[in-house]
Amino acid sequence: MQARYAALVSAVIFLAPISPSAEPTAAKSWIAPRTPDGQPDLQGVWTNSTLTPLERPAQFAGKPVLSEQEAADYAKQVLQQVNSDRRDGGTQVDVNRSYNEFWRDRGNSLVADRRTSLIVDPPDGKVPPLTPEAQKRVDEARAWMQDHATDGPEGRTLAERCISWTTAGPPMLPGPYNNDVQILQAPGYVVILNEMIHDARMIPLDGRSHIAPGIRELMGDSRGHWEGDTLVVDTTNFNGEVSFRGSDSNLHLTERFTRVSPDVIQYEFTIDDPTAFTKPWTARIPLNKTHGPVYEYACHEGNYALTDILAGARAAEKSAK
Amino acid sequence: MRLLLILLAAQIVFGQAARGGQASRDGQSSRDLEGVWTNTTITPLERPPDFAGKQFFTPEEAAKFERETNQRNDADQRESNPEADVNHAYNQFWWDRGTKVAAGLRTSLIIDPPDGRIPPLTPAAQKRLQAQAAYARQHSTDGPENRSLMERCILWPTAGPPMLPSFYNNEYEIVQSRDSVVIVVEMIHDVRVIPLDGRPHLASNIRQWLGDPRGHWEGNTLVVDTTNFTGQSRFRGADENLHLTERFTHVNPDMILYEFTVDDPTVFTKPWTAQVPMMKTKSRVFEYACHEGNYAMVDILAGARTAEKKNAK
Repeated sequence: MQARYAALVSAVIFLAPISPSAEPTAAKSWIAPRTPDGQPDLQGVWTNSTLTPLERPAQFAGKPVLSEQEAADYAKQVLQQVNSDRRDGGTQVDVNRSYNEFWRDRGNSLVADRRTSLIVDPPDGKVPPLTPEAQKRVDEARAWMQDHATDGPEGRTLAERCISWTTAGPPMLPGPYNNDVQILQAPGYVVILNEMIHDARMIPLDGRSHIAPGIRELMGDSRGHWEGDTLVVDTTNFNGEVSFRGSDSNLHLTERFTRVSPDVIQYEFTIDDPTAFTKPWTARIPLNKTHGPVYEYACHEGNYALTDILAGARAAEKSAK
Repeated sequence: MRLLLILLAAQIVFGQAARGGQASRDGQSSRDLEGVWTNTTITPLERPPDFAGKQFFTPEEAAKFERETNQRNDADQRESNPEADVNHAYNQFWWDRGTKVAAGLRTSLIIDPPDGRIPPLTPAAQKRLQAQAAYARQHSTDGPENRSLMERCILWPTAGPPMLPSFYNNEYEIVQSRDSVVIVVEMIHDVRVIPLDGRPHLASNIRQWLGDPRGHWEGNTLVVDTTNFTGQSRFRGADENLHLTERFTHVNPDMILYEFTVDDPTVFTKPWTAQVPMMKTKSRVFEYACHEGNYAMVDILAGARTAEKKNAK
């Protein structure tokens, strides 16, 4: 009886990390290595590449987790849809695909627990509705963009302008490529270097208070602390121009980093912005160990898209006469 | 026994110094470089002709040099000359050049060659730079690609590496762990992650704006060896063969002595070395906004197009 019980427990522990319903902390038997000063060691180069979408696709409504076969089928379907090496879309589409698979690094599978969305809360796997004021603001901004998209460089997105990348965050999400994140730790600090677009966050762990509310930053102001083996990073003071899915300057972001195995950090973030979203929401993304190094990112260099978009718009205006 | 005790005591003192973020007051350096540092100074990189043959200011000369330089740098002066006054619209509020010469009273940041000047360029480099300068003069407003890397917010010439004082944002935040040193440069929020684990440099065909740094300790001096520059960074004319060696020594609680040697045999007729004190500061490093709210680039190019139209008529 005793022996059977022990065997059952070890089977549960063994299965826990791959069980779809497993919580990230389920593998209690594994203890994260420590840095020389005793912090759980998160250092290294990690990638969050995955095909799992942030929000649950309509086809999986009510189905938070896929079977192995469903996951394989879905990955195949997505890879087929996004494959930019296809030449079957007619001239225009084929030209758009000239930025082909060589450049992409989206990964080729879903997250290990085969969830259908990175969002784990609310349970429907969708970003909660915006508040009426935020919806109005977002609609107006979109309408303005439609009318003024090619007025000048300021009308283009922050990503095209190489100022801030929407998926580089914080919070950090998988993007089409450069999904590498390098984490370094020193006593009192964690440094997160995001390959996209070579932005680094220096996160103090010494309990200092946030900067004054009058100071606003694109990446916000991050403060970290340990809760057990989980690094919790609390970020405020966003400037509101980096509108993450409709967020504004009141965004309060909480990120949690837990190293759950030698090769995985479970990364979870919660968006709390009561003036933008009707309730907080949370996503969970595994950061998988990968080989470095992280190279410099060239954003503007050799990139003529911005100039060409604007020159094209000016040429179109002239020819309309 | 006594020797052992002394060693032990030294180790304890030393260990505490390293952990506490302090170099000891008696001149012993520590391996702890963490903190926020500034290299603000009005000591010029190269020795001004007025001080030829003179390695150090006397205190009186330093005071006079400071007075004259600060007067010249004062962007709040209004000289009843509209053009000059308009140029001073970017006024003292924005500048942070410092008002003092660097500790040690040297007349130049360059300590070698002894004349305090950058050595002559090789004939080939001279030819290349002249051709580039001529091209830049003729095409400076053709398009954004013709503007400097600084105006394009790609790379700041003083942010380096090597790191030199500029007119503002001279702050550097250093964080270190056993295997890496991280330097965040306020200008223009570039970060260098310097591995200390002895790994080799990147393959020679991979070239980066900030080069590829590798660090190691020589005693209590952090030595950073950087190669694999793009050649477009062009520090003072340097090309992709630039081999930069930087040395960081925490010489007292408030100062890192920063020294760099530029070795680029296809550009400079000999290597040269500068020394820049980095002083502890209570400042924080904030995000740097480079393009944001800055209409200079658009206005420069729009102005040039307007001038062309006017001249064509």
